Amino acid sequence: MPDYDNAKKWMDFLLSHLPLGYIIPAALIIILIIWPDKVYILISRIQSCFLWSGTWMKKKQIETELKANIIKVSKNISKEIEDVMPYDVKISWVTESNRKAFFDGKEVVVCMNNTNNKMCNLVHAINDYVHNGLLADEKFYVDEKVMKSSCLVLTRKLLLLSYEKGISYFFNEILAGETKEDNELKEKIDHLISLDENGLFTQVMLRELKEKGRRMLGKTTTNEFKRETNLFIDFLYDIAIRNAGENTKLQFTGRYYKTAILLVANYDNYLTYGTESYIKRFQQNVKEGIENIYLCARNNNKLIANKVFEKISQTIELEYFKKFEYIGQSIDGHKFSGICIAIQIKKDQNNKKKVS
Amino acid sequence: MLLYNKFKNIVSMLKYSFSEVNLLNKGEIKAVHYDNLVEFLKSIEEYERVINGEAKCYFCGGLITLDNLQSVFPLDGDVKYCCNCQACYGKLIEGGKVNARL
Repeated sequence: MPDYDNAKKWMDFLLSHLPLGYIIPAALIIILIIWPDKVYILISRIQSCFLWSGTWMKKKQIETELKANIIKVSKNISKEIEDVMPYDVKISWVTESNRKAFFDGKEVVVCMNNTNNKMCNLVHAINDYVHNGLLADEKFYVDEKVMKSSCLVLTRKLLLLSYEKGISYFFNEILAGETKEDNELKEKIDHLISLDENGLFTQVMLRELKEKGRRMLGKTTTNEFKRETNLFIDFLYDIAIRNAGENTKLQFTGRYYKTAILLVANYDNYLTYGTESYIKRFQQNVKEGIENIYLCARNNNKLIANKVFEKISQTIELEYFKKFEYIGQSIDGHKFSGICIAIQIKKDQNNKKKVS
Repeated sequence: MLLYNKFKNIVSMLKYSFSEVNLLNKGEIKAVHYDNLVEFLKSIEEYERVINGEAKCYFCGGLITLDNLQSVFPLDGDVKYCCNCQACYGKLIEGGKVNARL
């Protein structure tokens, strides 16, 4: 029999010592920290009930709605890779100007509305956000077509994750227009979509572009890097479209990119040899000078990948790791749940291994 | 004539791409609400031009009205417009000088 008397005493004690005046603001702060996008969406809904009150409220509602969507998008992308979109979008409203100030400002003034083109506002805000924020410092070192297709595929991904209503608008009005007369761009986009459906786009490709592009900052010779980046994307694409059991190159050793993909794809292999064969392959990659290794698995094999990773982290010193789970789609159209663990090996250890 | 127009278009696009006009400045979009559009256009002395049907979209050449105006920007000492057609707005985004590194 539960001790109700005691429970009541505890309740009375808590209520008398933790007044609601503190609990409610604390709870609101916690909610704002954990779900800022949801709080902004709620505020935007409340504001839209008061649009009749004037232009000030209309502007506030647009600002809040855009902010909510940008936060949602940022949260989604930073779950997979940090700092790839170090951007926030704010609206600076203008009501009046003068001709001289307008020319001096050298800025585009965009017209916004609460009712018409609401979806258009949001899709374009996300599109603008991606175009301006993605690899902001590194984009100079990336091939123009790769950059453009990455932006479009990332916008598609973010819309699928956070604003699905806008996806058909995006396909018809933006993507179709961009690719109508550019087959090369269309092919690049198709390739990147394949990478995305196999968990290789944000977690592997964008992460590598960010890291390697950062090392290029301040350098003027970029053509070789651009060429190697294109080869690296082709390497990832070959992995994305491989059939089960097919042999594909899983290690890319270039001047800039030293990356390997470790696929945990064969359950029988695990039953026969345990995690040992994967760990050996991992160590082999480290010996060969690979800097970043991505451990990838699907469905039931995710468990094995986690076990392999656990053993690896016990035996090898790692600089960094990040686990990322996703819902992917195989070439035959079947959905699957996948995991990709990005592992960066500690540099000194890498050198030590090479020496030994 | 067709070839000349095409050439003119390419030159104007290039001029726009390399111009100092910013779509996004330090993560800030400059915007005007439709409620303030007339006031804003009057303040930059462009209202009459739009009302009289003299304003054209910089990208497609289409007529600009208060209903289809999407963006306004300064270029080569003149005020230019972009209509709400997605292809034109797309070009504006692509050509807008990216100021992310500032």
